[in-house]
Amino acid sequence: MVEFALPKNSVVGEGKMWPRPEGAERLRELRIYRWSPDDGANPRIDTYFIDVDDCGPMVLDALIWIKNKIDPTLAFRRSCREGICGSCSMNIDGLNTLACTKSMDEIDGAIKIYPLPHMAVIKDLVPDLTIFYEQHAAIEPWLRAGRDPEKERLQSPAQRAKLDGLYECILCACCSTACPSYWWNADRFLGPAALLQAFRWVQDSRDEATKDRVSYVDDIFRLYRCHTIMNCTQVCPKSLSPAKAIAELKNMAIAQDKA
Amino acid sequence: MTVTTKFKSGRTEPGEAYVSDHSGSPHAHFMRLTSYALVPLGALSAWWILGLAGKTLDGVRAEIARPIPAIVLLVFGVIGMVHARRGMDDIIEDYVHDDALKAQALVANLWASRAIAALWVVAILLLAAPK
Amino acid sequence: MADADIDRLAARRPLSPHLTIFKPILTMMMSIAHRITGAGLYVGMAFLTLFLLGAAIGGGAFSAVSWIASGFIGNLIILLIVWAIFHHLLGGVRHALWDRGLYMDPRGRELLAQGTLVGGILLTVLVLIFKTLAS
Repeated sequence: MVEFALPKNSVVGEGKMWPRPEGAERLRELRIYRWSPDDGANPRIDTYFIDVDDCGPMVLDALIWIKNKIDPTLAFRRSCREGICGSCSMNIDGLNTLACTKSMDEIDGAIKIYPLPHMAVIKDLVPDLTIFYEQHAAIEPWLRAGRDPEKERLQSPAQRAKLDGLYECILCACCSTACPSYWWNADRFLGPAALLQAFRWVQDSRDEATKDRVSYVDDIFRLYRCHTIMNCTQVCPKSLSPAKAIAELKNMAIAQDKA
Repeated sequence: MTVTTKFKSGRTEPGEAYVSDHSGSPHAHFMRLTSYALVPLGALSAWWILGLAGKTLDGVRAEIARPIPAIVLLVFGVIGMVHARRGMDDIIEDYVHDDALKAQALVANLWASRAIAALWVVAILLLAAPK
Repeated sequence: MADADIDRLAARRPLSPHLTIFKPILTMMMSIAHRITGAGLYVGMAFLTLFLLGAAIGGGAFSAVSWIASGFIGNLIILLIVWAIFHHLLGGVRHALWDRGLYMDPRGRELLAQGTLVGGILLTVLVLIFKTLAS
């Protein structure tokens, strides 16, 4: 059976209350998930306070401020700080998003930060994305076409437009790890991110493997663990719609199955 | 480095789920078709099911033992239970991961749904039969 | 580091919290409600079948099952079944629209989720009123 509760080693306890910054006029409270592989203890929630007037407006600014000024042991991924690298995805205020594009002003009260849900935690806010990348590899995210062409493969503007809303995915894993179906069946369900990319290559006018791609995902687990819960589309920080891509894949799979 | 992974839906590793089973598409199609039929059937049946509340035996017979309610409820029960069985299959596939237990649950679901549908038909035929 | 060490470290990793920390947004709640009403109707149909069988046999059999549809418990069971039918039915309509790629924008999603919740209750109340007036 699926475990709806957390395993014993994953139950979260109350952690440390870090000192408030001295001389600060405006404070903001952050409650952050911590776990270290070094001490053998269970995960805990640490409470930090930042000086709002000394810190940038985004949640990522606050994390960097904490790491610089309070606690250098806090671990998280970040790179571009402008919503294009997909590194700083985490669960903020109950929803998966990018810390760099999430303004602290959008959140009332203490800012609660967890790693992406239902993932193995490497340290603090850093989840193990191995399976997520394997899912992406499984849908073969490259052009599959027979012979080498004589000249470049041209696309009309209309054909190119079909990729809008699909190619922009930055593989941050917000959608897949927001999906309850993915929580219970990530070992076999491909998840919204990989399925969005599967559809992106199905839609590509230059790709010749459409039938095989649809046939590959046409599986009770790979595609059909999607029950249109919509969390993927609700949380996507790039405002893409994996749910719509999956709906179209299902319709193609049903049509191909009947043919 | 050979970090073990649990992923079983890949293309290259001949895992247990290597081949697409293609059973999801007919399942989804079946759920859609039955649900179209169940929209009018369900709405009408809800009306007569509500009519059962607080009735005496004669009242129940009067409610059900007319041609139109009897026929609608009969068809609703049969289509509803095949739809419910497939829906319960989805729940089992989602939550029961042990292969042996899953197989047992699927069989139990099949026969439970068939039993309910069969007894439902028998009960309504008996109620609607001319006395 | 040897492979075995890496695997042992990986096995010790905790699972990050999920159900307990995810914001209960309406679309997700309606999806859960769709599953609960569906499974509930399965059980409800079993009870209704028992009730109808009792009525078909009559006499002692009916008095043994009459609690399913009368008294406080029985009224509640029937009312819940009727509500579950309407809620699940509207959830099905929502899925049929989404399967066609319709109402998938933020406003459309919210509208359909609210429609399922409010519509299910509204239809139940309406049918209850009309049924009371008709009898």
